[in-house]
Amino acid sequence: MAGGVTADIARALEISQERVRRLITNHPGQIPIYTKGGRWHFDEDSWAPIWTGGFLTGMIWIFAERSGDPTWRQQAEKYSRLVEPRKLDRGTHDIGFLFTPSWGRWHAIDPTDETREVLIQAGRTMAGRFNAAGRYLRTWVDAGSTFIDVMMNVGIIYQAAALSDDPELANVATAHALTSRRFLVRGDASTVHEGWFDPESGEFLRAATHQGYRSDSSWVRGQAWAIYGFGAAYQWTGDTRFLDTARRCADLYIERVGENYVGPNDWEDPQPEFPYEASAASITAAAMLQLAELAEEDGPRYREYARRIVARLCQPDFLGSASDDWEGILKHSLYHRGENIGVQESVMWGDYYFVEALHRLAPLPA
Amino acid sequence: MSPRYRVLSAPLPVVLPTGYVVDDEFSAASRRVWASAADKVRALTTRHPDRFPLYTQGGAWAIDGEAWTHWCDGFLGGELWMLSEHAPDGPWFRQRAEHYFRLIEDRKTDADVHDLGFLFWSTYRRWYEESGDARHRDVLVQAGKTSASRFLERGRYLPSFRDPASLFIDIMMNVHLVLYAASVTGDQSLARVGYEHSLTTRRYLMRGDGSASHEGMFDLATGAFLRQSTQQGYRDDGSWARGQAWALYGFGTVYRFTGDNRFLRTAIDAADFYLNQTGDRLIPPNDWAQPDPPRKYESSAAAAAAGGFWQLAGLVQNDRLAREYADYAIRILLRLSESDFLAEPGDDWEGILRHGSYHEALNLGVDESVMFGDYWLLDAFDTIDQHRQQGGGSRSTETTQGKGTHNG
Repeated sequence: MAGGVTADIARALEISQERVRRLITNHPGQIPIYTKGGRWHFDEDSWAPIWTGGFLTGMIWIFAERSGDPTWRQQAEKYSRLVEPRKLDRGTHDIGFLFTPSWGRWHAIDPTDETREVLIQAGRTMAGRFNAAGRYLRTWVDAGSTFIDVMMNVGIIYQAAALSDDPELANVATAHALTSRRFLVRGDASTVHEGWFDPESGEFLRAATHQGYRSDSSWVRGQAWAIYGFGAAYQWTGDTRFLDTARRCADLYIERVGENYVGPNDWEDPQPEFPYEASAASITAAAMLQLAELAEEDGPRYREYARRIVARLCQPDFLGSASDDWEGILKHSLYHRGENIGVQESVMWGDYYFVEALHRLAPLPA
Repeated sequence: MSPRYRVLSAPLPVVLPTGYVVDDEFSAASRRVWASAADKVRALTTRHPDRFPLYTQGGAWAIDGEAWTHWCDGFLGGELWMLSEHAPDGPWFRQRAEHYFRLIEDRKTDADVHDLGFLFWSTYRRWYEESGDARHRDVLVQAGKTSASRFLERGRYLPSFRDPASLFIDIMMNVHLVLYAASVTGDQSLARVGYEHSLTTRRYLMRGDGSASHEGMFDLATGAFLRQSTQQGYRDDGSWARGQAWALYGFGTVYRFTGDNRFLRTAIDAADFYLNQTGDRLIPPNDWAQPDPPRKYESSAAAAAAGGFWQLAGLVQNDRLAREYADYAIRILLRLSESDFLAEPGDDWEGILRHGSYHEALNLGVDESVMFGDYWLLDAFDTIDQHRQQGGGSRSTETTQGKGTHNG
């Protein structure tokens, strides 16, 4: 494919838009995280502070942008305002997940003082999680913990730094990214889910995992966060160390997953319970499309691989058909096996990055 | 051999870019280094025959000093051999070298250490390259097999002497002996051991910024990697400079034996980390992560790194990068041959290279000469001298350790 919208992408966009329309029509103002037997589940998350409101909102913004339909735009603004109070939430490390797909998209389309102020506040709140001794942004788990996922949340700090002309904020983001590069990315470009530090001395102690197989293994969604997060850090800074790390992480994904395109939950699990963790693949597709715009001569290679991931996810075992009653978009994602939530279900971020990848593959005419 | 654990029949040659010229100052530096080495090594081996000190104390070799582990006993023999080619009275050094080689031959079956590469690549490898004598080769092969016998299946690594649960970055400087034995014997199980150890080290001791951890600890029951630690660095999460040099040099060497680009990539990462941390200072402290290090220099790390940079320059197939690494190697060596580092012939200092440190935490050989610092300094000068003698830079010229085929 050479830039045009192929039939499978057009169809996937239609199916995705229809399922999101159904969700926001049947459950207005509700922001679920994962499905249960294919039905959106609205109870509290037993694992993490709610971190996924930005994803549903982001999909609505994409459909608003693509359709030009004012009803989508109204919904997008409405859901963005539902997320807005989280700009002051000091209890989560997922501020970027909440605001980049929502208020970030709004600001990109239609910047106002309001969108600017919300993004600045969100970035400042996120930067408030910085541990200066260890030079990392802490998770909600513990003062001594950081996640590879947090790399997805440094972009909001860079954006706040740019919007408020505050280099100190950017320094925090860069310090966290460099610490993650050193301690959460291994010499073979695989990634660690969680790193533990002594929060007083800042000394890095050990790697751990919550959602992977073992502390020394390779949780594939963490790999996807790294490809996307380090690519974004490069985009904000031009620091080639981050581009290099993003590329290495992407190359390892290609080496390990190859022509399966969609990997399991963890590469080192000798007996994976399920063959697929679809959300890791959709994030990777979006991340490689971002990387394709940054990586110069290797761009076409990443774009082609992302295209193939998306083509695989467009097949019926993942996407289903327009007529089936599965409420999410992508099947066979896995949220948290230990908590037994979202196991081989749709998860909101898996759906969002799938739609983002489709949107990146099928840009609107200028 | 199965492609999964491919070992080349001969290591890749080290070839500098066409027209690469070593700075003229190198000739004078080389003369100073060999003059100092001839004086110091003759004095040590005459005054204390058949002894293998590791470090000096106040500049005098600690003949009965505590060793921590006996890993350096090949370096003195290697120095004697090199001096047989660079000192005026070559035959005297040559006879001594062979004698010191024989003193360590029995260590080829010593399965209690992880350092047989240091012992035998410095010694019998040189002898075999010259003689082509199968008896010399067999010593290397036996030492490689002995090293491989330490392999732990569960964690897939060669453990350090300290503890079966412990893996050192230093072992990357020894593992090519296992790959060498694999190439001579065609034994796929040896190739597998060398390969798997290198991959495990790459994954768990190398970090995403190209820095190296000194030690990694494993769970012996499951083989799970637990955490990084250090014995000789500042802190478990620090960057011990000598370990960085071992990584830069060792992964380059494993690339030469396997042709596997993953190892070349890791060597480049390690080199770039050294370069970015050290820059124009050239000589690192003991650990880059230590705030206000108590001593400015750990010269042995620089000496080993110089050889690693030079080797990498001849492997990267990229003229800009090759020249950067080669120039940096030369600059390090010129710096180490200045009077604050290089002892003078006839002065009271008994070692060759000052300002090295063996083990700060145990207070062994701190800010002294250390045998491995002296050895890697001479090895780098020897390699580059040979490169210059052979016409200095044509693509057809093979320049460093591993001349010819090892299958001989």
